[in-house]
Amino acid sequence: MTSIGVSIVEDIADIRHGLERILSGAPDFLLLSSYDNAENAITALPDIQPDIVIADIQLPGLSGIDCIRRVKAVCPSIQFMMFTISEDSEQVFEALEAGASGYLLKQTPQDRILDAVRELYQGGSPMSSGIARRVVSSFHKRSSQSGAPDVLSARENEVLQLLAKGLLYKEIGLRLQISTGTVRQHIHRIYGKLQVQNKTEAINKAFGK
Amino acid sequence: MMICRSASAQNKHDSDSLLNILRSGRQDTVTVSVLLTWGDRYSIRAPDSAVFYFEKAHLLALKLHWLRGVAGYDSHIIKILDDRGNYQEALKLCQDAVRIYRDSGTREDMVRASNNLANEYQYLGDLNATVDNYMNAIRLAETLTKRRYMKILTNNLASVFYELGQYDKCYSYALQAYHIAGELKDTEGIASSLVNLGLSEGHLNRTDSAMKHFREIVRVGRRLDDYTLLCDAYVNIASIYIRQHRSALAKPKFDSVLFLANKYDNPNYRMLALSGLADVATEGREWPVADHYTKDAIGIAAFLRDRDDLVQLLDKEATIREKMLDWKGALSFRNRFDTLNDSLLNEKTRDHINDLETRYQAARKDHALAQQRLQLAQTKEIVRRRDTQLVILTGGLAALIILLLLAWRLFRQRQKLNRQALITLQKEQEVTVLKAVLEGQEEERQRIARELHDDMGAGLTTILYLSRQPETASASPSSEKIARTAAGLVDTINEIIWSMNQRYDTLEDLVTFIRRQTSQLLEINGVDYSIEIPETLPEVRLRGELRRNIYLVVKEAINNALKHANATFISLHIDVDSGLHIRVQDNGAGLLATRGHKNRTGNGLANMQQRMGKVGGTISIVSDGGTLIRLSVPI
Repeated sequence: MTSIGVSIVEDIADIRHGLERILSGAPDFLLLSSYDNAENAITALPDIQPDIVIADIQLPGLSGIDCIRRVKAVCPSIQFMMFTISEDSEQVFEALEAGASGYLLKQTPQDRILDAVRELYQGGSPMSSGIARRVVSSFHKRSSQSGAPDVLSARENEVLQLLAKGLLYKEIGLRLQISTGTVRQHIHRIYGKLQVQNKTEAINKAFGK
Repeated sequence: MMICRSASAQNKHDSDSLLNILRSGRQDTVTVSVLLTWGDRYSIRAPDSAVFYFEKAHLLALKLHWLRGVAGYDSHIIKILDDRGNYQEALKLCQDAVRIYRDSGTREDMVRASNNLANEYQYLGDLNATVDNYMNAIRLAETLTKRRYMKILTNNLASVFYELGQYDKCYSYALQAYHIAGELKDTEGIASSLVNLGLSEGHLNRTDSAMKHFREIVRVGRRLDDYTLLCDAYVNIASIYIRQHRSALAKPKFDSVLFLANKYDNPNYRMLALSGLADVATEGREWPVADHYTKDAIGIAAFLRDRDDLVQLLDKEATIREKMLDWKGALSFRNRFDTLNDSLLNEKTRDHINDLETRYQAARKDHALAQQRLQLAQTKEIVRRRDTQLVILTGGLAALIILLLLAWRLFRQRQKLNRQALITLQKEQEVTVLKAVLEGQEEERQRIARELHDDMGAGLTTILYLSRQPETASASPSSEKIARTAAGLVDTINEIIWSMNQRYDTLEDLVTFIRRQTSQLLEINGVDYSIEIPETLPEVRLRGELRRNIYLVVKEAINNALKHANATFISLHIDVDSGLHIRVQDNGAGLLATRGHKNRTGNGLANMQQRMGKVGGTISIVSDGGTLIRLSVPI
């Protein structure tokens, strides 16, 4: 099995070092680089080509969200995981719209940090009930605005609705009789569509539609 | 020089022949004309001698019953009267002359007499009569071959329209005068029509064209060696520059005017030059210089009794003193300005009233006759009318009373409406204030939430990662404890932020949050659980404090079951009717068996009770084998 190439963008040195240590200690991870600001990351990441970037949102100068936008524009294959302490914040949602595939709570225990990154690598994304609700209303608003059919599949919709009610992946899996992994993959696809929607909307705006 | 000499020779020859006629003792109409012409020669140098000859001509004309001669006397004597400022007398004579010439004069005589009459009206300030008479004169002059009259009349009319502020008419008549003067090669006529052209264009904002015409005046003035034309042109050119805020260009022009005025000792132009230089200094904010020039100009204006200019200068000086922070001086000049301005305004009003009165008197005379005729007819009508009047009066009175009553009612209604409007307005204001307060509180909440998240969150996370240092982590249980505490505090911060966030203020938000946090906690601890929550929840908004207290009680209940009772299965049940009912049940050791933890559990229970009390809810705890905790909160 090839190892997961990871880069870090985090401005607080102690946290960055702590995270570096956790990642370098795991055999299936390969820590490629770490940055204390978005500008350096934006310049370097397209050449480094990591699988996953763990990025703080609040950074001096350009924000983590700017970092996602710029890097994603050049290298759409690089996946971003927002490093945050609050999963329901407006900024996390903005980052997801900008192209992030998930988020990682900073206070997560060490071993579970590695699990979360592995899950993302395998195509599964986390989503809180607050974010789920915002995603629902975002898709709802857009489909009613543009008149286009909802791009979410019926199953994706179901998963989102249950998430919004506060159910865990495991509970959703039980309810819908699918595996937890499948739930994660649904969420991952929903994030992808959220970003596409976001892009479409931006283009429509630019043409004054 | 040659031309001059020959002209004076001609004059000498003329005077000789005139003297011969006068000495001959002839008593005919020719003598009247000669006397008038002879008197004319003295009109400027020795007005008394002129009057002497004019009066002689007048007497002779009367003796001969030669009306044209009388009219001729009128026309000549008015110049003297004008110079002495006796305009009323002059006006009367001009009116006589017009009347005489209408019957027995030539058209040329009529043109001249009408022009003179118009002049007098202009001196007296009755501009409407002035225009009428010039117009009459122009109609007659148009039929004459002599174009000189048309030139004079059109230009005179142009100045009247300028005074009336009708600049477009001023412009068109001045243009006519300019063309005629051009045809006649009359340089002075060209110059005076150019002045009117330039002035009117200045007001019509045709600055470029005005400038062109004033420059032409300068050329004419040079040719004629007439310093007054130069001064007029310079003052006007400089004034245009001042208006365009190009005072650097204006200053040399005013300097030239001052130089010429000093050379020819003309106080009028000196005043204009000083006033202009004051404007230049004002533009450059050189207040002491402006003060110096304005003061001098005021002195001259006062000496000239030129009250229109004086009033403007006083206004300027008051402003300059204000800029120099000389408040006392400013006040004194402002007072002088106010006094003079008021008197000027009063005078204008008085003139206007006098004018109206004259017209009224004339109209009254006309009506007097008509009224006498009417009176007879009226007397007949009176009896019949009186009856009608009585009826009308009674009817009118009744109508008036009704009208008053209606007006009163309307007034009362208005008052009532106004009162209501006022009350509504007050209420609206109260709402606005309340809204502002709430918005302020919300802003404050958001600020605290942000600081909690950014500062406290970052600090605690740093502690968390520091405590996970490998060299200490292996051996030290305290560092693990630090890490746990820090992670717990970050969760607490998130809970506080959640409860402060108005975005999450519904019952559904609370239930979702409880469900999510509970299931995550139980999942991490590997405990089986069941959660029962209604599919749909009523839309109710809950205060942050309420949400937070209920959530913390549930959390405490779950933690108790996990930590102290060692439960392996926990169920969470939520129900909503008029209140929110939550049941937390476990299969743990129960309260009796957890005595070892008595203190802690006891504290926890007290805490839960206190929190439920705060939000007006109740809590009941049944411990029989497992533990069942019920919460009820009215919503």
